[in-house]
Amino acid sequence: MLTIDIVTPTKKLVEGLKADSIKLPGVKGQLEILTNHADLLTLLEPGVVSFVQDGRERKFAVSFGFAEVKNNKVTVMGETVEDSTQIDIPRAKAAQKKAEEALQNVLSEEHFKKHQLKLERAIIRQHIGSGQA
Amino acid sequence: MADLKEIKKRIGSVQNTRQITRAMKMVAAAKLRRSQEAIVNARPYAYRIYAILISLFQKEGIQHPLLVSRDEKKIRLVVLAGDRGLCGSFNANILKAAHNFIKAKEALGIEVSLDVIGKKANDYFKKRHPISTYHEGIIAKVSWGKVSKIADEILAAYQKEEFDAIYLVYNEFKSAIQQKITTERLIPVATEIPQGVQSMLTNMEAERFKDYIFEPSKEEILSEIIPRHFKMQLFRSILESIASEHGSRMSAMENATKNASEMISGLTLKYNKARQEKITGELMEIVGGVEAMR
Repeated sequence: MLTIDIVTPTKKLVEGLKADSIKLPGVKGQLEILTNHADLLTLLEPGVVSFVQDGRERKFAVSFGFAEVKNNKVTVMGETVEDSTQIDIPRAKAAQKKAEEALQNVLSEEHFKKHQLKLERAIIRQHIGSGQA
Repeated sequence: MADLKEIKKRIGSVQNTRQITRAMKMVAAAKLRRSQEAIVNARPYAYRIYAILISLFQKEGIQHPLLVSRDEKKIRLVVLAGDRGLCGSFNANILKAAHNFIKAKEALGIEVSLDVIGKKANDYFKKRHPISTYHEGIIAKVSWGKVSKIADEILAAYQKEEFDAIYLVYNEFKSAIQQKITTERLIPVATEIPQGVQSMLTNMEAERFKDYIFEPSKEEILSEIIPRHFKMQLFRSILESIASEHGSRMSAMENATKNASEMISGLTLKYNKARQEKITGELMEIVGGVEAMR
């Protein structure tokens, strides 16, 4: 059994929740953490954190963050983490459109990176918001 | 004999003022509770980020440019004050502390540039010291996104070596009636750990990174975590400053309400005395009149 905590700068989304496994969007690829996983500290990419709680899958959109696994305790530290049930799909769509427009004429490396990230995030949010991911 | 009507008018006006100060106190109390909650909510994240940073630095000895002190020639000071007054000496104290800090640094030949948050800080320094940036509308409605953006800007300027250190002066929230003015160096990150935190960390983190897997690597994790720690520090300080402001306003308004009540009872006493005097005077006149008619 794993114990899961999900914390953000503004609130604790999940605390002390029990689950058999958790999927994380690690920088080196998707990770699935099972019981007795080796201790780990990883950066997270924009993506989806998901686990099964009481037979129902719960999904969270993560923009950027860290995850630590230690003694079957998983802590996800994300700058912005959103529950899939709370995602505003029209807003995510609008954000996607805006990012796409911004990417039409790239001004600098920084500009590209920023909007690329925004685009990625908007797409992820739409996916998990509509239950596709 | 004081004019009865005059006294009555004054009682009325003090009563109105008391009503306002009482309402303001109530509003401040509600806002204080909410901002205290925000501080509590921010804590777990802040603590974990800090614990990882310290462990990586201390146990693993990983270095990073943001941890290394540069010779201070120019520094940036972030001043956190409020947008509004009527909160006791909250703004005055913090601005004085900031002012003294600037003077002390300048005496050492260090150039100080300012980032101000809060309208009162802007008003104060506008005439006294050049302000690099005034961040508006942060105190009224604080959000992670806004603070994050400010932190990115300041950090980017630091990395371009526009200044050699980032300091922050703010009101640390102790309790509803107590605030502590704190000056901190945010960047380079202080790697000497405060006493209280030290013992907590050594107990908890003694074996922390034994046989850990790091993805992608310790160095990369550290270089991502430091800017986030800085953001979180700034965010937390802003939350603390806001809570302090509400606390300070609450006690200021409570005092004002109390003073108004005292004034009202004083005035009422005066009013009653004057009224009694008037009645006595009238009675004397009637009695005197009756006596004369006999």
